[in-house]
Amino acid sequence: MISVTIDGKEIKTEEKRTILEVARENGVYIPTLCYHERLFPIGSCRLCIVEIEGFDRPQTSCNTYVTEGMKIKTNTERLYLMRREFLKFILMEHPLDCPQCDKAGECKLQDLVYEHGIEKGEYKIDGKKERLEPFSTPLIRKWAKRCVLCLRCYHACLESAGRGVLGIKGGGYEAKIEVVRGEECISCGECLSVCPVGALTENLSPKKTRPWMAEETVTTCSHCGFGCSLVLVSQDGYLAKVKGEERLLPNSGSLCVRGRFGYDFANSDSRIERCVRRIYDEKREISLEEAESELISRLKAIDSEGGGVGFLLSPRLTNEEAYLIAELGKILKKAYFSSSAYFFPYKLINLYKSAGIPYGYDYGDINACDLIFVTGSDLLTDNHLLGVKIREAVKKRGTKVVTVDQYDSSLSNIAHINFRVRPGLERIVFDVIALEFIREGDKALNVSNYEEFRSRLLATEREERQKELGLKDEDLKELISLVRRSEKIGIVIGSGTKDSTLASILNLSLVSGSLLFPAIEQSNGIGISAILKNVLSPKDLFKDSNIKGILVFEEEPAHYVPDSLLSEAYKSKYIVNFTFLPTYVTNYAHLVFPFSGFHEKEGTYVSGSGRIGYVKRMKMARIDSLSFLKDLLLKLGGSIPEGDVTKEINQYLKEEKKEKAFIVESRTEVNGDDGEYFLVAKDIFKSPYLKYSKGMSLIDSSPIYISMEDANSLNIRQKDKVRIWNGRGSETGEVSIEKSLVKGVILYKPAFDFRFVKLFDEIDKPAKVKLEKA
Amino acid sequence: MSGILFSSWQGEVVDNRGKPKEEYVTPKVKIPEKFLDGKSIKAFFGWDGILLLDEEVDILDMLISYMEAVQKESCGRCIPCSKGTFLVLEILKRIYEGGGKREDLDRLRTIAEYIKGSSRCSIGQTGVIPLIDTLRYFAREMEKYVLGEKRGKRYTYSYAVTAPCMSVCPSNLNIPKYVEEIRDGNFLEALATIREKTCLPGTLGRVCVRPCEENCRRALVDEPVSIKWLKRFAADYEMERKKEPVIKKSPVDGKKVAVIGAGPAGLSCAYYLALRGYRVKIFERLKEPGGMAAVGIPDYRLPREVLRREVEIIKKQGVEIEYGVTVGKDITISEIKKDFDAIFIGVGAQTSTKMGVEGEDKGLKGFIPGIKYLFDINSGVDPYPEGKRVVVVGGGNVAIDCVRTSFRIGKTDVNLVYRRSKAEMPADPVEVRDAEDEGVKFHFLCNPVRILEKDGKVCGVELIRMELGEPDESGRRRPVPVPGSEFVIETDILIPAIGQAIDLSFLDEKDGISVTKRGTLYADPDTFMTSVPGIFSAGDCVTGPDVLVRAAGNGRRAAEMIDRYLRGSELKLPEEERFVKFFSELKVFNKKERVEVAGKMERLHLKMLDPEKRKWVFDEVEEGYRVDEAYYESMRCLRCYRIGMVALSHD
Repeated sequence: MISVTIDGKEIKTEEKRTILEVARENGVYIPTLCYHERLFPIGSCRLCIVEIEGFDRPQTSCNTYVTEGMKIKTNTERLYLMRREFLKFILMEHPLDCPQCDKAGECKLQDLVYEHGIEKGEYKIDGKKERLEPFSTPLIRKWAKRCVLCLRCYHACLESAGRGVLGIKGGGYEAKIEVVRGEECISCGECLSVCPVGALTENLSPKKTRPWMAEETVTTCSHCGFGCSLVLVSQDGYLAKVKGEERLLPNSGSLCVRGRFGYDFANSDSRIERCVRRIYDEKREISLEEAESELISRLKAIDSEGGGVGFLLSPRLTNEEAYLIAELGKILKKAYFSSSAYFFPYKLINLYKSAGIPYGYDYGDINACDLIFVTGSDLLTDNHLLGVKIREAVKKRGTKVVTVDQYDSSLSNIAHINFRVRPGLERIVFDVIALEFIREGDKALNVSNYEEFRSRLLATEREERQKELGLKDEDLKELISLVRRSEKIGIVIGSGTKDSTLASILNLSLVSGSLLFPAIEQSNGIGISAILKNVLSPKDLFKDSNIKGILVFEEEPAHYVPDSLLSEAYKSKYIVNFTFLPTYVTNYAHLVFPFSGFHEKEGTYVSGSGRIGYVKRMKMARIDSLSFLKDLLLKLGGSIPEGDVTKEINQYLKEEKKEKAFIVESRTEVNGDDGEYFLVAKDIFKSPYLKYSKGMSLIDSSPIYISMEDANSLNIRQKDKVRIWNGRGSETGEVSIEKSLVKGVILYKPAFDFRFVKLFDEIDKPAKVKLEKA
Repeated sequence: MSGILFSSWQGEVVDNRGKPKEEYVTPKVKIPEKFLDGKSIKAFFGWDGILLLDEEVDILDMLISYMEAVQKESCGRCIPCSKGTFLVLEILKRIYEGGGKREDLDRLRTIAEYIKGSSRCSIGQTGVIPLIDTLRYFAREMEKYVLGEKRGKRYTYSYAVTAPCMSVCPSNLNIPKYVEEIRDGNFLEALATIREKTCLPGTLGRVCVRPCEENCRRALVDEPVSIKWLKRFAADYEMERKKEPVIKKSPVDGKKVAVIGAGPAGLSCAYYLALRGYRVKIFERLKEPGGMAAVGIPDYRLPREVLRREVEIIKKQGVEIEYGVTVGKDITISEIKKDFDAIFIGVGAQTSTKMGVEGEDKGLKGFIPGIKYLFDINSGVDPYPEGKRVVVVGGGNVAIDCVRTSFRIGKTDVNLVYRRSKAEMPADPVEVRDAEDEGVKFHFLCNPVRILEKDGKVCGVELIRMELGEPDESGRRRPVPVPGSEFVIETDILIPAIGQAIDLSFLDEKDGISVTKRGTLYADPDTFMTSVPGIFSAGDCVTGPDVLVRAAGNGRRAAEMIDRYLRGSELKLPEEERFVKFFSELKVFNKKERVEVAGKMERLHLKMLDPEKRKWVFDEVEEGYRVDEAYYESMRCLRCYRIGMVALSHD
C-alpha cells in the first residue's frame, strides 16, 4: 500500500493503479471522454489531465500510475481552461444537432460541454456536409461529423471483439475512423455500445425513443445460455432498443448480434393475440375460456383412455413456467417430457452426475486458466460472450488457446494450434493430454475406477493415436509442451462435442483438475433440464404411438425432428401449441394459445455456468403466461407448488459425490446408411422467433459448407447447387466453401432452412451422406 | 560553423543578428552548411529549437510549412495536436495572406502552450517548439507580418520524421510505429512494419545489440522500452501460430542478381531485390544459410528453427540458394558476371585473428580458433572431446559464445581471459552477466604470452597481468603488461577469440575489385558499389567485424542501389537516407533532457531458464513475452516522433 494526495486529501491505495482509478474509487471526479473500463487507457481526449507536483506538464490520469507520495491536483484553473479549449477543438466540426441526434440525453459530449460552461462553438468551421457513408454493417449507422475521435470504437473492435474492423486513416485534422476490414464485422455492436456520442447509432428500429421518455427494464437475454444482462428500452409497450450496461454482470455491457439486434420480433404484428382452434382445414378464433375447457377435456379424455401426453418445452421458457408445466404433467397418469435441451444441456448434466461432479462454474475462472481448449463450439454463434471473456484472459494474462474442431472457429486466429479433425476423433486430443497427468504417477484422489481408466488410456500406443487422428509430429510435440508448461487448463465444450469426447474431457478434468466451461446455446437449457430431470429425445415423443397428445411450448420441432415423422404425428396426435409468434407447428396445431414473449416474462433462467439470471417483464407487456399456467393447473385439479424453484435447481445441479468416477464408455457409432461424408449440424438451437427479426434477415448465410479439398475433387465452386442424400432422404441446396473445414465433412448451418434435418437420425450426431454436384 | 545567425537549440540561445561576422558567438549545436548534395542549408526548424543561417529566410513561410508537416504527421489520436495544430495553421495562413489581427499572436502563444503541455506524443509536444521560439525571439518580425509589412525569401523546404531510437538504428526501423501496433493488438501489422526494413525480425529480436534502447527516452523516466523483445514477440506471434506472412511484392522482372554469401547482408539484399521483382540467386559456401548468425551464434541464443523459418520466407519471395559453393574455387566472379546483371558480395568476416603468441602456429591439439570452435559445435561435433578444461581469450560476443557453449558440450572448467577490465568488454553486458550466472570464471587484465604444451597437446597457458595506461584510438585505455607478473592457468583447450578477419582470397586480380589497406573490401559508403560498376558489397567484409543489424541494414540499402543501377537511374542517396545521416550527426537523443512523465512503469524482463539447468543444454535460454506482457511493455513507449525541416537554397 502506498499513499498519495489528491486535492489535498490523503488516500491510501495499492500500487500499480492509475490516478484515475484511485480518484474514482475515492469519489474524486475527473472529467473523461475516451476512457472506458473495459479497454486499455486510450489517452486521446486529454481531458483527464491533472497537475502533479514536480512536473510542469499536466499528466493524463488515465494512464499514469500512482507512486508513493505523489501530490495531485485535479481541478485547477489551468486544467479547467485547457479542458475547455480541447472541448472547443472537438466542437470545431461537431454538428450541433442535438434535437435530432439519437444520443441526446445520454451523450458524454453534451454533459462535458455543459459542465465546462461552453456557450458557443468558438472555433466552429462549416466544413463539408454530412454524407451517409456505409458502415461495416447495415445495423449500425455512422455519422462521420459527430465523431470526436475518442478511438473507443477502434480499440473495442480490436480488444473486446477481436475483429479489427476499424482503422484510423489520415493525419491531423483529416484523421478519421474508417472501415478497413469490413468482412470481419460480426455486427456485435461493441463499437456502438462504447461510442460516447451519436457518431454510431442503431439502425434497426424504425421508432426511436428519448432516454427521458422511455422505460428501461433490466432483464436476461433469451438467446444463448451465457446469460447476458440486457436493458430493454421501451415506450408505450413498444420495444425500441436493447442495450448493454457496463455495471451489469456477467457481460459488462458487451452483447452479440442476436442480443443487441435480435429483439425486434417482439414488436411483430404477427404475434398470436387470440386462441385458435383448427378442425381439419378450418381455423377459428375462440375465447380463452373455450380453449381452456377444450384443452382440459381433451387431456382428461386421453388420460382416462390410458394414453400418454407429451410435453415439449422450449429451453427458453423461464424456470417458473417450466415448473408449472411439470406440475401439469404430474396430474396425468402418463406424462412424457422433452425439450431441445435434450441434445446438450441434459446429456451434459447426466454425464456430470455419473461422474459425480457438481455442475457449474464461474466466469471469473476463465482468467485463472493459462491454457484454454475450445471444442465442439463456434463461440461466435454459440456463446459470443464466452469468446469475449477468453480474449480478455489472453489480453490480461497471456492465456494460450487451442481449438479442436472440424473447422476454424472465431478464436482460431489467435490460437496456438488448431486441430482440425473428423467428428468423434476430438477425444484423442484429450486422451493425449490426460496421459500427461497419468504418467506423473499420482493416483487421482477421491476417484474410483482409476486403475481401469488408467490402463485403458495406456493401452493404446501414442503412435496409433497419432495415426488415427492424422496428427503431425510437431503438433503433438507442441501440444504436450503447452500442457506441460501450463498451470491451469480450461476446456470449453459445446453442443458439437460428441459423447465419447465428452467422456474423455470429464475424465481429464477428474485426473488433472482442469476446469470445464460448457457453452450452452439455449438461455435456459440447464434450468429446464434440471427441472424435468428426465428428458426424452424429442423424436421419441413424436414417434411413440402411445402418446396421444403433445403440448408444444414455444418450440419448433421441425428444427431438429425429421418432417416425415412430424407430419405423421400431426395427423394422428392432438397437438396444442403455446407460442408468441406462429412457427411451422402452429399451422398443424389443433389448439393455439398466445404465450409471453421474452419481454413479457417474469422469472428466472439458469445460465450455462449455473448462474441464476432474472428475467423481468417490460412495462405494458400484454400476455402473462405465468398466471395463465397457474390458472390452467388449478382448473385441471392441481395445486400451485410451494417450493422455490431456483433453490431446487441449485441443489440438483450442485449434487456431488464424495467419490467421483471416471466415465468408461464405448465409442459412439455414427448410425445410418453408408455414405462418404459426415453431415454435421451447427447452430440449430437458436430461437425460432428470429426469423421474424428484420435484423437477422440482414445477416444471412447459405446453409451448406464443404471443404476446399472436396470442392476441388468434385469441381464444385462457390454458390453451386449440390445434392445431398442418404437412406432417409435427399435435398439440394446452394453451397459455400469453408477453407478451414476438414475433408470429408459437410457443415449444415441452417439459417431458417430446415430441409436437411431429415437426413439426420439424431440431430446432434453426424449423419453419413453422399454428395454430388446438382 | 561561423554561419549560424540565430540558434535556440536545446535551450542555448545565440543571437548573432546585427553583429559583424567576427563577433559571432558559436553555439554548441553543429549542423553542416550543405545538405549532403550540394544545396546549402539556410535554416533548420526542429524539435528542440530553430536555427537561422541566412537573414533573408521568410520565417513565417517556413513556419507555415513546418506546421503543415506537423499536421500531416499528426496521427489524429489526440485532440490537442490533431485539431490544435490545424487551428494554428489557419491563423498563421491568415496572417500571411494579410488578414492578421492583433490578438492572433497572443492566441497562438496560448494554444501552442496547450498543445505542448498535453499532446500525447512528441509530434505535438515538440511540433510547436519552432512556433513558440519564433513568437518569443522574433516577436517584432511576427508583428510586422500581422501588419502586412514583412516578407522574406522563400526557399525549398524539406523535412523528415525521426525519433531518438530510429535515428541510431542501423536498419532504420520505424520503431514507434510497430510498438504502437503491438499496443493496439495489431501484432501482424507490427510484423509487416518491421519487415519493411528487415527480413530477420526473429533473429534480431534475439541477438540485436539494440542501440535503440540506449537512445530510448523512456530510460530517462524509468527504464528503456524493450524494443528488441517486442520485435521478437511480433515475429514469434506469427511463427507460433504457423501463420503465412502476407508480403507485397512486385511481379518478376527478368533481371538477375547474384549474391555471394547467405549471411545477414546477403539474405537482406536478396530479399529486398526479390520484393522488387528481381530474380536472385545466392551462392553460399556452407551447407546452411545464415552465415555467422547460423554457425556463429549458438542455439541457446538463436534457435535454428527461427533462422530457418526466416530463410524459408525469404526464399518464398523468389530467392534461390545454392549451398556448398565456394566462389573463387567452384565458380569465379567472371563466370558469375556472364549470367547475372549485377553482383552483391556479402562474405562477412569469418576467419580468426591471430593473437601473436608463442606456440600459436604449432598446430597443437586443443588450440582451436573461436570461430572454428563454434562452427564445429553448431554442426553437432565436439572438436576435442578429451579436453575438459577451457580457456577462451577475448572480450567480445564470440568469446562469450565460446565459454557458454563449452558447458553445453560437457566441459567442466571454463575460463575467460581478457586483457582489459570488465567495463571495457565489447560483449553485450547481458550476455556477460548470463555467463557469470552459469559459472564461467573471468580473469580480467591479463593476456596470454606463451602456450604450454606436452606431447603436442595444449596443457596450459602462461599469462601476464596488465594494467590500464593511456587511451588508444578507440578511446579505451590501452592495457600495458606488468613486468614479472606472469602466471599459468592449466588447460586442455585454448581458444583465441580476439577478433575476426576477412578472407578475400576468392578475389582474382583481374576482377578489379579493390581492397583497402585494412584488408576490407572497398565499397562506397553511400552507394555500396565497389570499384567495379555493377558489383556491390556490404556487411562485415566492408566494415570489418560489426553488428548483425548493420549488415542487414546495409544489405537492404545495397538492394535499393542495385535496383537503381539496373534501372539506369542515378546512384545517389535517397532523401530519406540523407536525413538519416543528417539527424545522426545532429544527435537526436538528449540524455540530459528532463522528460516530464510521471508514474513509473517497471520494465518487464523475459523469463529465463535456471542457470544451473540451462548451462548443460542448448534450449533457448530466454522465453519470449506473452500477449499480456507485450501489451504492457508496448504501453511504456512515449512515441518520440519529431520533425526536422531544412530550408534549402536552389543552387
